[in-house]
Amino acid sequence: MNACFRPRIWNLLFCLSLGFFSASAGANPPSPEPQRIVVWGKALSGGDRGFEAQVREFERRHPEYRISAVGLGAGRMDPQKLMTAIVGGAPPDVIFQDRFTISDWAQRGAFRPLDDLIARDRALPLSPRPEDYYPAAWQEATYQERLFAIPTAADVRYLYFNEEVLRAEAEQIRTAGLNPSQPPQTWSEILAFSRVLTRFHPDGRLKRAGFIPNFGDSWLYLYAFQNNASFLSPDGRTCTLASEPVREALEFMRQAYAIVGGYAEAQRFQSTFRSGENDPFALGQVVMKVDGDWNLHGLVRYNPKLQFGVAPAPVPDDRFMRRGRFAAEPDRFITWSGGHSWAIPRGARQVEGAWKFIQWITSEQGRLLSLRTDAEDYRRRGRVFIPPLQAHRRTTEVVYQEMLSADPRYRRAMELHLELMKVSRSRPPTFAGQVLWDAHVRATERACLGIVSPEQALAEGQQTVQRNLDEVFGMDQFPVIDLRVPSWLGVGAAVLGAILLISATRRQRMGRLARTENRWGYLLIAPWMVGFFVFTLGPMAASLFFSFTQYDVLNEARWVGLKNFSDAATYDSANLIKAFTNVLYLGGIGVPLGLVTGLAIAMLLNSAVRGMRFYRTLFYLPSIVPGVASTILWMWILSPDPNRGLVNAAWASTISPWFGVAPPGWFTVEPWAKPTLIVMGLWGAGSGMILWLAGLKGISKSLYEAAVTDGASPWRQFTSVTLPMLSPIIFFNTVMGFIGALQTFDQVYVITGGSGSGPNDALLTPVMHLFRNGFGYFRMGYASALAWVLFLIIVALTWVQFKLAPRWVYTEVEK
Amino acid sequence: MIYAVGTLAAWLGIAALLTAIASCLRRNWRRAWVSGLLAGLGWMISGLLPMTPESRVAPGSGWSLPVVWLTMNVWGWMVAFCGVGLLIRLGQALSSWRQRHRPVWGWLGCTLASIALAGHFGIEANLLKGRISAAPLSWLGGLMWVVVGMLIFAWAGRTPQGARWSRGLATHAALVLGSILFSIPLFWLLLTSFREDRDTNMADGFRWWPRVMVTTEHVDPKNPYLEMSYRGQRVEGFLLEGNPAQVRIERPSIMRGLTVPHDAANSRTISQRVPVVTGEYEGQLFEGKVVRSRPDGLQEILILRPASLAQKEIVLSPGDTQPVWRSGPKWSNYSAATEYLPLESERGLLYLRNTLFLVVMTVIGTVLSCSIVAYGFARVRFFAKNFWYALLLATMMLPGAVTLLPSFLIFRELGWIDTLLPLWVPAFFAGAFNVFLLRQFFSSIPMELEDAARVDGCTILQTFWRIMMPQIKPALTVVSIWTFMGTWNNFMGPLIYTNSPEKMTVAYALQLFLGDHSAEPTLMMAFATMAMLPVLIVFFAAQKYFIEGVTLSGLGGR
Repeated sequence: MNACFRPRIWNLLFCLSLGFFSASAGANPPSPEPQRIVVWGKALSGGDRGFEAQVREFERRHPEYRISAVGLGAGRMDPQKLMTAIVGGAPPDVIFQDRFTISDWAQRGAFRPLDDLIARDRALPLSPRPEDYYPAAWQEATYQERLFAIPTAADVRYLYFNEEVLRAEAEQIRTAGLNPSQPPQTWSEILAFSRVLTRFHPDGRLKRAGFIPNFGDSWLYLYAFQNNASFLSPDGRTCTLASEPVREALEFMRQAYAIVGGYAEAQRFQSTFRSGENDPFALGQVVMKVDGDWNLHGLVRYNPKLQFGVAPAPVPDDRFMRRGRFAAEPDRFITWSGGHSWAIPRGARQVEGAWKFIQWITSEQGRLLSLRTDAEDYRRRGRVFIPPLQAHRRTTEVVYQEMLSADPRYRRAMELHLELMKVSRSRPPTFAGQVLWDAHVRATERACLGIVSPEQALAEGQQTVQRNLDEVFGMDQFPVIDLRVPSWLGVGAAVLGAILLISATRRQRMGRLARTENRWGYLLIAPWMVGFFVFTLGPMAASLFFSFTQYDVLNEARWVGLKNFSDAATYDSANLIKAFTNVLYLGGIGVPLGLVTGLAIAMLLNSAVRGMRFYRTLFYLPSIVPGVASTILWMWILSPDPNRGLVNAAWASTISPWFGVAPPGWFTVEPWAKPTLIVMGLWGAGSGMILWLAGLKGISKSLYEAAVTDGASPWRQFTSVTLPMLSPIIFFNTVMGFIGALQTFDQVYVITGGSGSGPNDALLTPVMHLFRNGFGYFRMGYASALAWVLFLIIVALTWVQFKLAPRWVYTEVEK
Repeated sequence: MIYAVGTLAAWLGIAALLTAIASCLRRNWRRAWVSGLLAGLGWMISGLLPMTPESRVAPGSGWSLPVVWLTMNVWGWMVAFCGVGLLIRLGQALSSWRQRHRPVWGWLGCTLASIALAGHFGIEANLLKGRISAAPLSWLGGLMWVVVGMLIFAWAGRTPQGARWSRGLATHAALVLGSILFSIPLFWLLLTSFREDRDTNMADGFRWWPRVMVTTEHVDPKNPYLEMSYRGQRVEGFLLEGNPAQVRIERPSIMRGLTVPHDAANSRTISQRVPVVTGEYEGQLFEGKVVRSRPDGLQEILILRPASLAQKEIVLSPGDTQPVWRSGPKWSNYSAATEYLPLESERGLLYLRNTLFLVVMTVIGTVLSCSIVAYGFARVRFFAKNFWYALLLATMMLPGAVTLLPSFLIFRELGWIDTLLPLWVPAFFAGAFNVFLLRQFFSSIPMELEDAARVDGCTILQTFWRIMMPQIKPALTVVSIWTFMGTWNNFMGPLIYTNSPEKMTVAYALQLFLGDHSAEPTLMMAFATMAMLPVLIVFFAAQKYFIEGVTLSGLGGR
């Protein structure tokens, strides 16, 4: 059973002290006639006309329900949001989720299994039936023989090639012994094509890439699937990321990157890409890519005249020749399919309504309505509509028949979609899906960058995933612990402390007056003390306790002793070191830079010139912009696409032509990511500036007069008067700045979309790592341990700063 | 040539106007009159010269800096002049209305009179647009100017007065440069929020000034567009044939596509806004409005101009026409952004109300609790005081992540999830930083004051409330403003504790909105601007006290 944290004493205390406050916070307004079904993961306002039409039709058919849909990160829901909602007992009724995360949640019992509902409603025309779905899609939503979500859309990945370039380079291709009218079918063929087609500038920069393996949407997953790799053993207990087929696939990617000048050069090249009409594929900057079927939309819309072809993604030579391990393999080509699905969270209030909604939205009729609406909308705007693939087999067939394009290029692609759906594989359903995904991305990046060998990169990744698997499968060896015990212990300790304090006070020799004052003192600081015990010390102790447990919040905690800390020191230490190096970089460079900027502005503003208030306001303004808004704004300004980002637009038309330096990718490339974050922080230097200004105004004029009398130059005045007098503020700002830098989170969270950690972990911070473990991988115990490690490091650093302070901080003698 | 003279004259006029204003401020009336006359002369010249606005500049000719000159006739400038004067006087008078209200009336009279005159004769305002090429050579030229300027400064610095002047000028130059650098992001935010969506892509040139696609009114008797009230909500939509008749809602956007029964009693036909496009038909340029988009993708266009083709209906594909542009901000981005908010939020008003409630409660809570606690730590002697104070300071180092989850569990036990309580109740329990700040301030107040109060028989509470509180007003202002900003901008708290749209705050709604509309930067920026506006207003209103407060509150180093 779900044992939760139940500090009844606190409850009681709170109700007593806050009863009158709670009364003022009104209750929910009475719900209107139709009952509300709350949908998360897909917004009604996102411009998705098909979804809108489906929702409206549902509301028409079932007037007893009304849909309230919120995006919340659309499709790839913020895991923290969903988790807190389920734990807090206020989950949505329906949720739209990426299929590969379904088993993650299912394992923790966060979603309701749907088998009983499916069995019950088998006879109903709208109800989903397993046999109607493509097996890859259905399997991905199934975990341990039970179904947790109904798939909707599906996708496939295949090779796109630019025929115009192939035709122009036909002679060269023929010289290399290849056939220009037959796109590559095997790995060695595509490498050979890429060698012929790739061009460099004289200075070694990439001019045209034949094939960038991870440009588009392929990932190591696709190539490994082609090589018959599975990432997990069939029982799901062993991770096989470091197996030979995966290694071969990674080796293939590495070779492909080597042809285009290496991973880093490819990244730099990619960061200059533009979108829309200037799609690098349409411009011939990248001749071949493996991408998803959805990509056809953009191509059709922005480059209707482009001559391109599609083909199944090239496969290992042995598979194509049907020899060696692939001798008995029926399928020559393989693709990888993913997609979204609808699920009902545990504790949903409107299960029946939610199920009706899912039935409708995944039904053939519902999907057709959605697709037809989209098609009409596209037509109205004068665009060609390529229907997305559906997990429901018949829907796909009907739609593809109905909307088959007359254009041979698109027609070929659509036929390919249907062919490939039959040979598609999907990611293994496992509760470690997110960990596995992150580990495989990281391994690809590290191996292709040449930081470690492919074997080692995969072994590292496998170890991380295996730890996670073992943790859950080996859970039973650790004792379940009732969380009520520690909370009572905590309360007991607090009572004991209070008794000790009172008796210690009693023992003090005090007069009557002093005793009264003592009582008053405690009375005055009581608000803080209550807050301290309830909102700070209590939670701190609780988190210390959690750090010795394995706890996913949704299920009971298990006592694991020091395991979390030893994990942090051993196999996760590389990540932690990276994270701490990153924040030390941010602190070490960002804090001094911030101090200097703030001081420089304050010095300027301290001079007596007209219009000071105006200037002061302008400089202070940026620091009152909400953090989220300012991060979004900067991401918009620093968008690498020179057609959209202000800075790169300016760069592309000035610095690029003069000096031949391409605009940087800012947040998207490793060397620029952290400096960009620092620049972003400098923009908010205004808040520090106010403190400096206050400090400058506080320096007595007589000191400067004395200095001038002694014949000190302005610079000497600055170093000998201003700086020493300001040293307490410098100290204060440094300490606070460092504490802030070590806890960097908000900006990184927004920039990386809440999941990633920037290019090659360049933006991984301790709090981000902690957050990802706690809310992304359900490892609250480990996250608590990390929080404590972080706390101790902050305390240590601050202590060092305080120790060093007397050497340089000038303090006036207390008056 | 005409442009050069006209522009020069116009600039002279502006410079003279500025001098005139400055002289008025210094009560140097003679100089004011002379410069006023000069300004008039300048504008006369520029106004008399026949200049047409040059609105089309060939795009894509490298990076060049667009420059805009404003030319107006005399009446226009009079209105501007008087308006500026009025604003200055009003600004001066606001602080002490009783003494300084007289000039305001005078300027008001002048403004009204000039508006009347301008209304009679008409204002001819023209925006002249040109471009300064930013080729490498011109940058070299710019650099040379900088060098020359520095030489002049060096030369001027030889005399004391010159030194003062040049130092002042240099400070101004640095400040102006810095403020431009600091304002660019905000400027870009505003600019994006006023743009058409398709202009956010700068592939065909870079625009410093927003422009909008022209739309016009259209009533189609065959396809009536109605305004109706539905469940207390004002909606607009098309009437669908059938029995019973239905309406397909178009606006507000969040309800788009919903078909509801037609309520004939409560509806009326209105005109819809349709885009105006231009294109070529039978070899002639035309301007027309798009009256219908057909299912086959073609558009039916009703020609408005030229007269020879007027009222003719033609059918063209969208690719053969271009929208007609007009320069100016697209205000409708703002209303469009609120239209996308969930219905429960009453176009965002509910978010505003929630946030205001939170802000008021947290500010009250913080000010009350922190000042009491700070007073306790500053002035009352009690056992183990230093120990508790050290503990308080230590909590400032605590990463929020440590207490995140346990706090959540505590609030869940209290049943406070999906309410606003967890967001404001903790404010009544004194945060460390503010206590630290206020204690510093209390310590700087002379002890004698308090002793006197005690001697007069005040209790500790009375001393605190009557004597000490009024003394720390500046510091309290700072604390309140910081708390206000912190609460307004906090999104982590609402993210964790609130779920339903009825409980959301502005900052959280902003975050959600950014997630849902990441492909529409114009709406994103419009919403961000709206979310930040109240903070800006409060900052501007309280800025004087705020900065005074920081300066006085002992944060300045002691």
